[in-house]
Amino acid sequence: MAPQIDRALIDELYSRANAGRWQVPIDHFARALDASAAKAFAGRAPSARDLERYLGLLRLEELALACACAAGLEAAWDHFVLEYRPVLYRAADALDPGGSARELADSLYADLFGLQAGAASTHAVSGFPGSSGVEGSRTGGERRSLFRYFHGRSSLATWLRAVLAQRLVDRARAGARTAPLPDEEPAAPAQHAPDPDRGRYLPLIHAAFGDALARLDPRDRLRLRYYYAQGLTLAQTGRLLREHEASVSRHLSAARKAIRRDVERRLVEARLDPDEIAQCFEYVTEDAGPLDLDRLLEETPGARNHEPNVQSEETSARVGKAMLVEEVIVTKRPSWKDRRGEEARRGRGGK
Amino acid sequence: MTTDRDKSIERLLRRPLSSDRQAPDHCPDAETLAALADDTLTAPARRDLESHVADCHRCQALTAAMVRAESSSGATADGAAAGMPWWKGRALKWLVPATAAATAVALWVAVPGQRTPLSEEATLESQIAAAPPAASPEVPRSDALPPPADARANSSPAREREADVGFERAAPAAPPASVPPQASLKSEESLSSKSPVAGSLPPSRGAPVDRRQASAPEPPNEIARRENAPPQQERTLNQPAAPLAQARAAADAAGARAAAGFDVVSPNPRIRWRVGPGLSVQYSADDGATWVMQQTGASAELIAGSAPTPEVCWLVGRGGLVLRTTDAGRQWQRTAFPETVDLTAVTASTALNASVSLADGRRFATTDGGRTWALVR
Repeated sequence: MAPQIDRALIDELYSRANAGRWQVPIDHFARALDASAAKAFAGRAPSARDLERYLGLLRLEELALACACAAGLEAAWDHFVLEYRPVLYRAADALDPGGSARELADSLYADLFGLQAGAASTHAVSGFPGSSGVEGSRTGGERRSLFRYFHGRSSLATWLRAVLAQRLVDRARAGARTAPLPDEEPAAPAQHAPDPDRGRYLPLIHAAFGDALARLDPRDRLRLRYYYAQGLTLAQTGRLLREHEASVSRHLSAARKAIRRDVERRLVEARLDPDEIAQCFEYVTEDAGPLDLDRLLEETPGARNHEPNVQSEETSARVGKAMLVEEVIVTKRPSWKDRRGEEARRGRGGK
Repeated sequence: MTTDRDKSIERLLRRPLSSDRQAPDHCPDAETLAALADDTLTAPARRDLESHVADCHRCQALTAAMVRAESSSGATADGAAAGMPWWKGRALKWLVPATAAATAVALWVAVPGQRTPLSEEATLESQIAAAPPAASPEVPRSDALPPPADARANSSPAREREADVGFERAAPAAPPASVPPQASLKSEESLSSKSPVAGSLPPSRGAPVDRRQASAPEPPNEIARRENAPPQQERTLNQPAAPLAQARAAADAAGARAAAGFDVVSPNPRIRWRVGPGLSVQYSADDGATWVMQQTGASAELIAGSAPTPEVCWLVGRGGLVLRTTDAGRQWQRTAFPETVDLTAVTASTALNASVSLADGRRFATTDGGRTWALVR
């Protein structure tokens, strides 16, 4: 159930949003506020003060513009085209300088306007819950604009970039499920002469690595993935994690050292001598295939029976479900929404 | 040995995980990820979301793509400092020009015979050139963190440069050509042709829209190329060399000013606007004692401003951005400008009359509040 917003507050927000500039009907705007609050509070009933604070922090002007565009108001569309379409195209060009992202941008633009009628061009709205293939369409005289998914929690430009990026990523994944994205081109696996030790050592070090990665705080793991796997710069990683570049660098260094320590410890526990451990690391340097932790851990003797020590158990409890455990043992992981719901329930129970 | 092992760990870290069990159904939607990027989520929500993204290759790729697009399109004017607390950024940014200015003034006073005042632009330019490299100590990356070499073969300095230029790494070796006006129009046409409802096209066919489409958007690479062009190439813009040099100095100075943020003071000194760094605009009616954030709808970095009256303020910025308020900032209006060149200065005498300087040295003036602009010879 959506939180109830006081009418006086709606009036005030309407005024602050300057929604009258676009002649947005106040009921449209109120519905947008309702939808935004309903999503943000996810079934919880916020206090009036929390609700007011939340609504006051929204990008109200941009929400009003989105409402107006969703309603097809011409002045708002003029403004949107003038201000935001270049943003969309610049983002498309940045994401794919080859130009194919422009097609997605055009398609997105049409969805924003609500042009793609279901009969003519059914288009599932990627990444939007509840999209049934007729979203972003105009059916029965009612405009179904993508704008209704904008809730004012971010800037309109960021939201547009997010939707565009989502479509691009999904297209890349759909096109080649196992192929890397354009910026992730691993080197071709090297050809190796038959080496009996290789088949034994590589799974060992991969399993140790997976275990070490799993013990990290999710934020540390995310930082590593952004920097190393996604190839973001320190600045870009810091932008996403709200950290200064120097902090990102420091945390990355610490996490990498922790992983190395853990890997070495695990290899020692596996009764490898120093030469064999060195050989393990050498094999990694030569190997370039993707990491399939599931397969590797299946093949690693004792990996499933690995008994985490007290420290790792504590760490796992503190940081939540560790990646290794999630990847190998847990067959159905709780989704992000499940975790949010669980937390909300715990919060209510606590009260 | 130590280095080799670290490299092995880095090699493992760079590999894509082939087991990606997060189904898109479980992933947060674009709106939530946008809120994550803009840092508007509550701390618990952010923590949960980060936990998800940490293990979800799709969401990692998506958020990474978002930030790349943002960096490349210059949406975050102060991207490098986005992660630092605002007071640090502001303090550091003011410290450099302030120190340089103090040094310049001291030199000017101390050295006799140097009484001819330099032009404002030249002074600022020399200050910037003489300023200590304040940015370099902020990132002790080369010692702290070996860069991911591998296929990308990016050294630390290379990646720092990459951070400056945005999306260079992902771009092809040859810089993409500037988007011709036809390209935008073609997109428009393709949209029209796709449309099953011919009579209900988006209202993008109006005159202001076409004018904008014909000249924008210009890729950052193209801007950089033109700004770095040799003098003879610059002169093809029908501008003499000396004014261009002055314009460049002015543009550099304006860029530095914009990066640091600046105040626009009205004739009533109690009423002023504080602009930037970046897109933020604040208003004070009590001589800066208290500030109120104003929503301008600016989509590019603001560079200069002029407030001819306490009620009227003009702001200009990158890509031909002109904003104007006539009610002390309660409502800001974007004014259509015929060029997408960076605007480096504005001088306004009323709500209707203003002139702006472009980064290429030209000046335009309006006498109708920005509705029409005329090139000033």
